[in-house]
Amino acid sequence: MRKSAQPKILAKILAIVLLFCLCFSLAACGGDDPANYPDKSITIHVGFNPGGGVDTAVRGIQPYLQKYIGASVLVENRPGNQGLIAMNYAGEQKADGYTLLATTNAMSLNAMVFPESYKLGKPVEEAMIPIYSWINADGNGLFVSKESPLKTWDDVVAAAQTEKGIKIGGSGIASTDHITLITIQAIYGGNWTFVPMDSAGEVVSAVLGGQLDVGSSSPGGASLDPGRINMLAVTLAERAPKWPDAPTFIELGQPDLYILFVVGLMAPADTPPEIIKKLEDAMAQARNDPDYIAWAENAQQAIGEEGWDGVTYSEYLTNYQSFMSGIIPEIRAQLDAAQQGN
Amino acid sequence: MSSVVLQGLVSALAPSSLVAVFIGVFVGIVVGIVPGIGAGVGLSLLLPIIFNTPPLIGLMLLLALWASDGYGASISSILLNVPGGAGAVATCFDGHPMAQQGKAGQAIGISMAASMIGGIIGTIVLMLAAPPLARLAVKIGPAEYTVMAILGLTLIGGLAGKNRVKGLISALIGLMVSFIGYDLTTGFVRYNFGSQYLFDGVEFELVLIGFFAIGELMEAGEEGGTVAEFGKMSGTVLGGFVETFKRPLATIRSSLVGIVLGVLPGIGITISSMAAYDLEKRFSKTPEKFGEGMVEGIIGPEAANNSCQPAALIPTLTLGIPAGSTSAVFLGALIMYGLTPGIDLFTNKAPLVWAMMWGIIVASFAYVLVGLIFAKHFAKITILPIEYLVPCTLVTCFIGAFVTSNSYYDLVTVLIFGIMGYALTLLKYPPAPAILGVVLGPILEKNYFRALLISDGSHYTFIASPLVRVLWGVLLLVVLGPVIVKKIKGGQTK
Repeated sequence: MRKSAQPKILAKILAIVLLFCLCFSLAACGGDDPANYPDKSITIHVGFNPGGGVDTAVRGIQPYLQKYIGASVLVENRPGNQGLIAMNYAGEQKADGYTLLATTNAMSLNAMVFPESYKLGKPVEEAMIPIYSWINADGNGLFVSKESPLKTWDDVVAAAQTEKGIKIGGSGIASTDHITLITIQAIYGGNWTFVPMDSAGEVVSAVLGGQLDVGSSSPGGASLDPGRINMLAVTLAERAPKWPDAPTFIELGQPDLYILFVVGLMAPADTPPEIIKKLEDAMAQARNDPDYIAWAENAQQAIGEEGWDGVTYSEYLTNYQSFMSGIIPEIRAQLDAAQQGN
Repeated sequence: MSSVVLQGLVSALAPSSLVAVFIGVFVGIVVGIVPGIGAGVGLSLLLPIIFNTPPLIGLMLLLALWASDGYGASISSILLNVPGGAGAVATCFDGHPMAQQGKAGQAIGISMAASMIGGIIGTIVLMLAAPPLARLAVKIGPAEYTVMAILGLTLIGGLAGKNRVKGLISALIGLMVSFIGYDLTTGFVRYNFGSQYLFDGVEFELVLIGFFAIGELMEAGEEGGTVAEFGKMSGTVLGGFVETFKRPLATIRSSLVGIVLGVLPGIGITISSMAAYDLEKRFSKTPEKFGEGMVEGIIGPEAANNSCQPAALIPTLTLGIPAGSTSAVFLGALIMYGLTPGIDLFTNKAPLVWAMMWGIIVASFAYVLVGLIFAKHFAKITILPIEYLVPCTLVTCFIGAFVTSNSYYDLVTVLIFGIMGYALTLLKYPPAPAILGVVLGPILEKNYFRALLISDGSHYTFIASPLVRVLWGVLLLVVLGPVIVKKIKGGQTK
């Protein structure tokens, strides 16, 4: 029984192993001439888990990019360090246009707040070339539970001046949520406490449960149910389609509270310009494909009025970074204070 | 209303849905069996593939995968003493001894039946009581979670086996591992030994593979032989079914544990399956026989980890708040299809929602069907020589570790924890409390600091709300209850 069974099993295992080797060897072929670009598959690295906001954004446009660039586009998740693991990885790959990175403006910020996590040696704007941004109308919304006594943003500001203050939840440290709160604190003064949660879902849960006074999250987020949540104000340029009654901070007279969440595509710094151009054109075509727009609207993707080409995108990032460099010392100070308190 | 329910059942039973369910079940069982890959990874691997399918087909596929993962994971626990996933850690305790007695088929049968019933009970609760339960779940805040995590630590007693002190030390090792990486409250990085890789902490699955799988496999490899003695195979899969149905109380009790803990965001299948095991041990008339192949020892964790899945969908579907990492991926799929969670989903998309819920029940029957065909053959693994089994399983474990994040560092991590796990096994330290520690550490720490941030640093918050007080009461009962019962019983015999 034993003797007859073993060789068969071994042969099967060997066959499977050989099959795996074959699969991997195929991945190693392909040429290098920019004129022939692309002649093999392109990989977009995503620094976040599958199913998350950035991942969904990339997978949504991937079939259309594939259609217009004329090569298969793979999406690979490399989660960790708020996206910086993927950035460190992609930044060190060959600059041949086959390794791209999906980035958010928050990732550039994290590279500055947590220099110990960022390994590319030079500032993000020198290490990576912005190609195109197709999600640029997302930002932050400040919301309360429908059962909350706070009904307007003015109520929240007034409550912050009391001794009890306002407990505001957002996802993660040095995130867009955290920056929003620090800016709010600087503008309005008073007693604000930022409570970091793991995800937007947890923030909404704690706001609905009454543990937190105010939550901060992307206004288009799936957990924000207009039946249970009151959106008080958004950090966007225009009101969010889902919340026509919530004013922007610009309307409230606070133009500094214009904080966007931007998703775009970048390539390592030395990628040849003709390849960047090809990618930029293909991304623009993909972004404007009616089928993509239909999907994006249905899936509540904040694609905004139009996509940003490389120039607009890098202009935005430069402005963003100069704005943020004023805030970073404050973030670090708050984190260090929390550390000493522990 | 009832027509929508029926309509959902009809679309769940349509040929295309059934094909999706069966594919999902196959993938789910495989994903379950392979240590290190759980439903979460399985779902995220399938997401890109289902991107262009109609929502019903794609979601059925995901749900079927998710539902059958728990059953698949128990197969590795029973046959090899290597949990196929976090929810199957507790299944090892009695499942594997049963396999060693030659009753692997029966053990798989018990796991299958308990999983099926757990899944169905969970789905019925999801169908009937989703909105009120979700509203209840959000009432549980950081202070409550903190006390619950402390309550969770009492499970160490049940998981430690014969030597309580070694169990405690093992749990402390787990807690220490859980503190590696970012402190979410301050952004401060701890115990990373200067390595950027450790900033996010150690992935729980990697610890599970290292501590449990590798340690266990190395020891088994040393001993050699076969898991069960050839020619001593007894007990059939159907026999396992009968055993389960003879114990309806245990099955229902464990399913309820899974539902209650599954609804709460952040608790998840690891703790609920361990809690169900502990509860069964406490309710048993012969608790000393747990760990030697008790039927309830398999029913408990298996019913709980499968009822957890539909329960996790309750906050996901009604509030858009994922209960754990797997439901977060599922939520991603819903958004991808343009389905917004919330009460509107239950009214506007009622046929689809009902089809999804029926889909879980259909999947439960489907994996039983698939299981009945294959379980007999799976059981034969226990008579394969261990020197062949161990290397194959080790390779599978490493593939499982790599798939999660495509990082070679993960393989190194598994290796390091594997060596530690082997040392623990040799020194007779039970690995299960360490796993519990790794899971509970972050829940305890994050919620403790969040509660203090919210209360402006006042510890009164931990006894302020009625819910917290109830939880402290339960804690007292759990810790002191057995002592008091013993005293009373001792008094009677005198």
